[in-house]
Amino acid sequence: MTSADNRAKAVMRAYADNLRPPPVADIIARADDTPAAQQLSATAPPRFRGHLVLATASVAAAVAGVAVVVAWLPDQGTTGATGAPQPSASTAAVRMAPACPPDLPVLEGPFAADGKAARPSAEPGQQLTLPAKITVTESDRRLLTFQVYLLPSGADMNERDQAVARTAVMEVSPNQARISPVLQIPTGLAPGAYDLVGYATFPSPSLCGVANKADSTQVGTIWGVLGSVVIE
Amino acid sequence: MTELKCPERGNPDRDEAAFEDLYRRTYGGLLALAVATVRNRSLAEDLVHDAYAQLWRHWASVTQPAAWLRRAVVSNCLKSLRTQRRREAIIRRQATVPVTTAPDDKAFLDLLAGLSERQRLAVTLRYVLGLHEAEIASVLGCRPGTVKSTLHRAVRVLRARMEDEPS
Repeated sequence: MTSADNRAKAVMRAYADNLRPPPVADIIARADDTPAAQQLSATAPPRFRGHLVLATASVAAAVAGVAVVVAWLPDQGTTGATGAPQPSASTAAVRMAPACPPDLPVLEGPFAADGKAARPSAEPGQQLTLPAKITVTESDRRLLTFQVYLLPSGADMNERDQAVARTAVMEVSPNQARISPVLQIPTGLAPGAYDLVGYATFPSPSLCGVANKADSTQVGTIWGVLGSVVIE
Repeated sequence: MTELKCPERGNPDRDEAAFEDLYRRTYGGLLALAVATVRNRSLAEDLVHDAYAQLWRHWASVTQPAAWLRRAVVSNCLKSLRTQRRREAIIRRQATVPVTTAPDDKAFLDLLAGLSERQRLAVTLRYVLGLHEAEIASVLGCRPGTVKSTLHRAVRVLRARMEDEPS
C-alpha cells in the first residue's frame, strides 16, 4: 500500500470515527413502534401531523327536525380539540379514553405513520390498498363510515376540497375489525409528499361517560392524518 | 473484522446490552458506508437506523449480527438508490432547492467523487470496515474476483487524488 493509499484510508477512517450514534433507546423505540419512534431523526419528513377530533351533529339531524348540538371535546394533550388543526411533526395518535368518541382506524403497511417505512412511495396512476385496523369501541359509538383523502403535505386537512384523490365512502359494519379502502392515484399527479387523511363518522355526541340515545340520528365526524406517501 | 460473540439469547437485559455494544462499535463504519453509497447524510442515517431497528426486531434469531447488519445496510442503500434515480429524473425537470452539505461530509464525499456506486461500496468496506475481499464479496453478492478488480480501479482513483494533494 502506498502512502497515498494510507492517507485515503486514514481520511475515510477518521470520518467514520467521528460519526456519533443517537441513543440506542431511539433505535429500540423505532423497532418497537413506540411514540418515540415518530420523533427519531429530525431530518426525516414529518409523517404524522396530529389528530383533531370535532364532534358535531350532522345536517341530516336538522332535516329530521332534531336540534343541532355541537359537542366540544376536552384537549387530549398534543392534539387540538377545537378550531383549526394544529399540525405537529411528531407524536402518535392520541388514544381516547374508553366511552369517549371513537378513534380513526389505524393504517397498517408501508404508508402508516409508524416510522417503519424508510420512504413510502407510489407512482401516478397507481392504485393503493390501505389496510387499516378498526379500534374496538363501545357498541353505541362504533364508526359508521370511513374514507381516506390524499392531500398535499402541509395543506389544511380541514379543506377536503383540496384533496387530489379520495377513496369511496365505506360503510363500517358492527364488530368489523379491519377495513381496506382503495385509493386511485391520479395519473399526472405532481411529484412530492402527500398526506393520507382519514375521515370517519360515528354516532354523535358520544361524550365520555354518557350513553348515546338509541334512536339518535346525530352524526359526529373525526379526521386526522393516518400516514403519508411520496409520489414519484 | 471480528464478529461480536452473542451471549445466549433470551435474557432481555443481556440482549439489550449486547445490542447496544454492537451498535456503538459498528455505527460509525456503517453510517460512513451508507453516506458513501447514497451520498446524502440524512438519508444515510435513516437507512442505517432502519437496519439497526430491523436487527433488533430479529435479534433472537440472528447468529452473526455484524455481518447481517452490513448486508442490511447495503441492501437498504441500493434499494434507496433505485428509487432515488427515478425521483431525480422527475425533479430535474423542476426547480430544485440547493442542498447544503456539512464540511466533514463534503470532504468524505469529495474523496469518493467520480467512483461508481459499486466502487464506493467496495472501497468503504475495505478501508473503513476493514473487510477482506471474500467478506466484501459476501456483502455485495458477487465473486471475490469482481471485488478485486473493483477495488483495484477504485484505489487507483483515490491514489491519484491523494497524490495530487499536499501531504
